[in-house]
Amino acid sequence: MFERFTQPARAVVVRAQEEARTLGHPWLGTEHLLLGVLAQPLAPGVNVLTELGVTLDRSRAAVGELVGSGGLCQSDADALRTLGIDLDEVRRRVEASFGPGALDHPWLSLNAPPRQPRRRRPWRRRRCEQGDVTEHLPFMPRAKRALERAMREARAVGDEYIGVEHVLLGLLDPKSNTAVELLRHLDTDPEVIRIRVRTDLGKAA
Amino acid sequence: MTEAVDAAAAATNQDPRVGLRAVAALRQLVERLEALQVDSARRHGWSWEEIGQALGVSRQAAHKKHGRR
Repeated sequence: MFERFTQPARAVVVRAQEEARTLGHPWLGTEHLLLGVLAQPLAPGVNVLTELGVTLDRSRAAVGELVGSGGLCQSDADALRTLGIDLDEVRRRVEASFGPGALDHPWLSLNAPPRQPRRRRPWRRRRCEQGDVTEHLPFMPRAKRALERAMREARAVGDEYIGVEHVLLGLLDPKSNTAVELLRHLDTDPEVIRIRVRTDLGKAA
Repeated sequence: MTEAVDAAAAATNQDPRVGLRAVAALRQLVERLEALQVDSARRHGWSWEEIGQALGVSRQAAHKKHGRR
Protein backbone atom coordinates (compact mmCIF):
# COMPACT_ATOMS: atom_id res chain seq x y z
CA MET A 1 0.00 0.00 0.00
CA PHE A 2 2.82 2.41 0.81
CA GLU A 3 4.95 1.92 -2.31
CA ARG A 4 4.05 5.27 -3.82
CA PHE A 5 4.27 7.17 -0.54
CA THR A 6 7.03 9.77 -0.36
CA GLN A 7 9.55 9.53 2.48
CA PRO A 8 7.82 12.30 4.48
CA ALA A 9 4.43 10.63 3.93
CA ARG A 10 5.86 7.36 5.26
CA ALA A 11 7.28 9.31 8.18
CA VAL A 12 3.72 10.51 8.91
CA VAL A 13 2.54 6.92 9.32
CA VAL A 14 5.55 5.96 11.44
CA ARG A 15 5.08 9.02 13.63
CA ALA A 16 1.36 8.29 13.91
CA GLN A 17 2.22 4.87 15.35
CA GLU A 18 4.58 6.45 17.86
CA GLU A 19 2.00 9.05 18.89
CA ALA A 20 -0.62 6.33 19.37
CA ARG A 21 1.74 4.32 21.56
CA THR A 22 2.70 7.35 23.61
CA LEU A 23 -0.99 8.02 24.23
CA GLY A 24 -1.42 4.41 25.25
CA HIS A 25 -3.79 3.69 22.37
CA PRO A 26 -3.67 0.17 20.99
CA TRP A 27 -5.01 1.28 17.61
CA LEU A 28 -4.02 3.66 14.82
CA GLY A 29 -6.69 6.22 14.05
CA THR A 30 -7.12 9.37 11.98
CA GLU A 31 -6.30 11.42 15.09
CA HIS A 32 -2.82 9.85 15.18
CA LEU A 33 -2.33 10.36 11.45
CA LEU A 34 -3.16 14.04 11.93
CA LEU A 35 -0.49 14.26 14.63
CA GLY A 36 1.90 12.58 12.19
CA VAL A 37 1.08 15.21 9.58
CA LEU A 38 1.62 18.03 12.08
CA ALA A 39 5.04 16.62 12.91
CA GLN A 40 6.02 17.65 9.34
CA PRO A 41 5.37 21.40 9.51
CA LEU A 42 7.43 22.08 6.40
CA ALA A 43 5.55 19.68 4.16
CA PRO A 44 3.23 21.28 1.59
CA GLY A 45 -0.24 22.08 2.88
CA VAL A 46 0.64 21.71 6.55
CA ASN A 47 1.25 25.46 6.89
CA VAL A 48 -2.51 25.95 6.49
CA LEU A 49 -2.98 24.11 9.77
CA THR A 50 -0.19 25.88 11.63
CA GLU A 51 -1.43 29.28 10.44
CA LEU A 52 -4.80 28.47 12.01
CA GLY A 53 -3.08 27.64 15.28
CA VAL A 54 -3.38 23.89 14.87
CA THR A 55 -0.03 22.81 16.25
CA LEU A 56 1.28 19.43 17.26
CA ASP A 57 1.15 20.27 20.97
CA ARG A 58 -2.37 21.65 20.91
CA SER A 59 -3.63 18.75 18.84
CA ARG A 60 -2.01 16.18 21.06
CA ALA A 61 -3.72 17.74 24.06
CA ALA A 62 -7.00 17.75 22.14
CA VAL A 63 -6.65 14.03 21.38
CA GLY A 64 -6.27 13.48 25.10
CA GLU A 65 -9.48 15.42 25.75
CA LEU A 66 -11.52 13.97 22.91
CA VAL A 67 -10.40 10.38 22.92
CA GLY A 68 -8.87 10.03 26.36
CA SER A 69 -7.52 6.60 27.04
CA GLY A 70 -9.92 5.20 24.48
CA GLY A 71 -12.56 4.77 27.11
CA LEU A 72 -15.42 7.05 27.91
CA CYS A 73 -14.30 10.63 27.38
CA GLN A 74 -15.54 14.02 28.51
CA SER A 75 -17.97 14.30 25.61
CA ASP A 76 -19.46 10.92 26.59
CA ALA A 77 -19.79 12.21 30.15
CA ASP A 78 -21.58 15.34 28.88
CA ALA A 79 -23.90 13.24 26.74
CA LEU A 80 -24.73 10.92 29.64
CA ARG A 81 -25.46 13.92 31.84
CA THR A 82 -28.32 14.84 29.51
CA LEU A 83 -29.88 11.53 30.58
CA GLY A 84 -29.24 12.30 34.24
CA ILE A 85 -26.36 9.84 34.48
CA ASP A 86 -23.32 10.99 36.40
CA LEU A 87 -20.43 9.16 34.76
CA ASP A 88 -18.04 10.13 37.54
CA GLU A 89 -20.30 8.45 40.06
CA VAL A 90 -20.62 5.34 37.86
CA ARG A 91 -16.85 5.27 37.50
CA ARG A 92 -16.38 5.65 41.25
CA ARG A 93 -18.65 2.69 41.99
CA VAL A 94 -17.14 0.50 39.28
CA GLU A 95 -13.63 1.26 40.51
CA ALA A 96 -14.70 0.43 44.06
CA SER A 97 -15.50 -3.09 42.84
CA PHE A 98 -12.99 -3.63 40.08
CA GLY A 99 -10.06 -1.38 40.86
CA PRO A 100 -8.74 1.91 39.50
CA GLY A 101 -9.18 2.51 35.79
CA ALA A 102 -11.48 -0.49 35.42
CA LEU A 103 -14.08 1.36 33.38
CA ASP A 104 -11.52 2.93 31.08
CA HIS A 105 -9.40 -0.05 30.22
CA PRO A 106 -8.81 0.20 26.46
CA TRP A 107 -9.35 -3.48 25.73
CA LEU A 108 -12.78 -3.40 27.25
CA SER A 109 -14.14 -1.35 24.43
CA LEU A 110 -15.85 -3.33 21.74
CA ASN A 111 -14.98 -0.44 19.45
CA ALA A 112 -11.37 -1.33 19.94
CA PRO A 113 -9.75 -2.99 16.96
CA PRO A 114 -10.03 -6.74 16.76
CA ARG A 115 -7.13 -8.75 18.02
CA GLN A 116 -4.38 -9.60 15.61
CA PRO A 117 -4.71 -13.16 14.41
CA ARG A 118 -2.76 -15.54 16.58
CA ARG A 119 0.67 -16.30 15.24
CA ARG A 120 1.23 -19.86 14.15
CA ARG A 121 4.43 -20.31 16.03
CA PRO A 122 3.42 -22.03 19.22
CA TRP A 123 6.98 -22.99 20.07
CA ARG A 124 8.06 -19.40 20.24
CA ARG A 125 7.36 -17.55 23.42
CA ARG A 126 5.81 -14.17 23.16
CA ARG A 127 8.43 -11.56 23.77
CA CYS A 128 6.24 -9.03 25.47
CA GLU A 129 2.92 -9.34 27.22
CA GLN A 130 1.85 -5.86 26.22
CA GLY A 131 2.48 -6.44 22.55
CA ASP A 132 5.66 -6.24 20.57
CA VAL A 133 6.86 -2.67 20.06
CA THR A 134 7.94 -3.39 16.52
CA GLU A 135 4.53 -4.74 15.70
CA HIS A 136 2.27 -2.40 13.74
CA LEU A 137 -0.82 -1.16 15.46
CA PRO A 138 -4.00 -2.10 13.63
CA PHE A 139 -5.46 0.65 11.46
CA MET A 140 -8.95 1.74 12.36
CA PRO A 141 -11.37 1.65 9.39
CA ARG A 142 -11.49 5.46 9.10
CA ALA A 143 -7.69 5.65 9.09
CA LYS A 144 -7.57 3.11 6.30
CA ARG A 145 -10.21 5.09 4.48
CA ALA A 146 -8.18 8.30 4.94
CA LEU A 147 -5.16 6.70 3.28
CA GLU A 148 -7.32 5.43 0.42
CA ARG A 149 -8.69 8.93 0.06
CA ALA A 150 -5.10 10.23 0.01
CA MET A 151 -4.37 7.99 -2.96
CA ARG A 152 -7.47 9.24 -4.74
CA GLU A 153 -6.52 12.85 -3.98
CA ALA A 154 -3.13 12.27 -5.57
CA ARG A 155 -4.62 10.57 -8.60
CA ALA A 156 -7.19 13.35 -9.02
CA VAL A 157 -4.47 15.97 -9.49
CA GLY A 158 -2.30 13.66 -11.57
CA ASP A 159 0.45 13.17 -8.96
CA GLU A 160 2.36 9.91 -9.28
CA TYR A 161 3.36 9.94 -5.63
CA ILE A 162 1.42 10.24 -2.39
CA GLY A 163 2.76 13.05 -0.24
CA VAL A 164 1.97 14.54 3.16
CA GLU A 165 -0.41 17.00 1.45
CA HIS A 166 -2.47 14.14 0.04
CA VAL A 167 -2.58 12.40 3.41
CA LEU A 168 -3.81 15.65 4.94
CA LEU A 169 -6.53 15.97 2.30
CA GLY A 170 -7.40 12.32 2.84
CA LEU A 171 -7.89 13.00 6.54
CA LEU A 172 -10.28 15.88 5.84
CA ASP A 173 -13.10 13.46 5.15
CA PRO A 174 -16.53 15.03 4.55
CA LYS A 175 -17.99 11.93 6.21
CA SER A 176 -16.12 13.01 9.35
CA ASN A 177 -13.68 11.10 11.50
CA THR A 178 -11.82 11.75 14.72
CA ALA A 179 -9.26 13.99 12.97
CA VAL A 180 -12.08 16.15 11.60
CA GLU A 181 -13.76 16.27 15.02
CA LEU A 182 -10.44 17.26 16.51
CA LEU A 183 -10.03 20.15 14.08
CA ARG A 184 -13.54 21.33 14.94
CA HIS A 185 -12.66 21.02 18.62
CA LEU A 186 -9.75 23.41 17.93
CA ASP A 187 -12.25 25.92 16.49
CA THR A 188 -11.31 25.42 12.87
CA ASP A 189 -13.50 24.48 9.95
CA PRO A 190 -12.22 21.33 8.20
CA GLU A 191 -14.04 22.34 5.02
CA VAL A 192 -12.20 25.69 4.95
CA ILE A 193 -8.89 23.91 5.57
CA ARG A 194 -9.54 21.54 2.68
CA ILE A 195 -10.27 24.40 0.31
CA ARG A 196 -7.21 26.35 1.46
CA VAL A 197 -4.90 23.36 1.12
CA ARG A 198 -6.21 22.64 -2.38
CA THR A 199 -5.78 26.28 -3.38
CA ASP A 200 -2.23 26.40 -2.00
CA LEU A 201 -1.26 23.24 -3.84
CA GLY A 202 -2.82 24.55 -7.03
CA LYS A 203 -0.69 27.72 -6.77
CA ALA A 204 2.48 25.79 -6.09
CA ALA A 205 1.95 23.53 -9.10
CA MET B 1 -30.68 19.07 41.96
CA THR B 2 -28.70 20.19 38.96
CA GLU B 3 -28.96 16.61 37.66
CA ALA B 4 -32.73 16.76 37.83
CA VAL B 5 -32.67 20.07 36.01
CA ASP B 6 -30.34 18.68 33.36
CA ALA B 7 -32.48 15.60 32.90
CA ALA B 8 -35.57 17.72 32.57
CA ALA B 9 -33.78 19.83 30.00
CA ALA B 10 -32.80 16.69 28.10
CA ALA B 11 -36.36 15.42 28.11
CA THR B 12 -37.52 18.58 26.44
CA ASN B 13 -34.56 18.73 24.10
CA GLN B 14 -35.77 17.91 20.63
CA ASP B 15 -32.37 17.99 18.97
CA PRO B 16 -31.68 14.48 17.63
CA ARG B 17 -27.93 15.11 17.75
CA VAL B 18 -28.04 15.48 21.52
CA GLY B 19 -30.33 12.50 21.95
CA LEU B 20 -28.36 10.21 19.66
CA ARG B 21 -25.06 11.22 21.18
CA ALA B 22 -26.44 10.31 24.59
CA VAL B 23 -27.60 6.93 23.30
CA ALA B 24 -24.15 6.26 21.85
CA ALA B 25 -22.46 7.11 25.14
CA LEU B 26 -24.93 5.00 27.07
CA ARG B 27 -24.31 2.04 24.77
CA GLN B 28 -20.58 2.43 25.24
CA LEU B 29 -21.09 2.48 29.01
CA VAL B 30 -23.32 -0.59 28.90
CA GLU B 31 -20.83 -2.53 26.78
CA ARG B 32 -18.05 -1.74 29.19
CA LEU B 33 -20.06 -2.69 32.24
CA GLU B 34 -21.08 -5.92 30.53
CA ALA B 35 -17.48 -6.77 29.70
CA LEU B 36 -16.38 -6.11 33.28
CA GLN B 37 -19.16 -8.19 34.78
CA VAL B 38 -18.70 -11.09 32.37
CA ASP B 39 -14.96 -11.18 33.06
CA SER B 40 -15.67 -11.12 36.76
CA ALA B 41 -18.25 -13.91 36.46
CA ARG B 42 -15.74 -16.04 34.54
CA ARG B 43 -13.17 -15.47 37.25
CA HIS B 44 -15.76 -16.63 39.77
CA GLY B 45 -16.14 -19.81 37.79
CA TRP B 46 -19.47 -19.10 36.13
CA SER B 47 -20.25 -21.11 33.00
CA TRP B 48 -21.25 -19.46 29.75
CA GLU B 49 -24.66 -21.04 30.25
CA GLU B 50 -25.09 -19.20 33.56
CA ILE B 51 -23.73 -15.94 32.20
CA GLY B 52 -26.02 -16.12 29.17
CA GLN B 53 -28.99 -16.80 31.39
CA ALA B 54 -28.23 -13.84 33.64
CA LEU B 55 -27.79 -11.55 30.63
CA GLY B 56 -30.90 -12.87 28.94
CA VAL B 57 -29.05 -14.24 25.94
CA SER B 58 -28.04 -17.71 24.81
CA ARG B 59 -24.89 -19.47 26.03
CA GLN B 60 -23.54 -19.26 22.47
CA ALA B 61 -24.24 -15.54 22.17
CA ALA B 62 -22.46 -14.81 25.45
CA HIS B 63 -19.45 -16.90 24.47
CA LYS B 64 -19.28 -15.47 20.96
CA LYS B 65 -19.24 -11.92 22.28
CA HIS B 66 -16.92 -12.36 25.26
CA GLY B 67 -15.10 -15.65 24.79
CA ARG B 68 -12.06 -14.24 23.07
CA ARG B 69 -11.22 -11.32 25.28
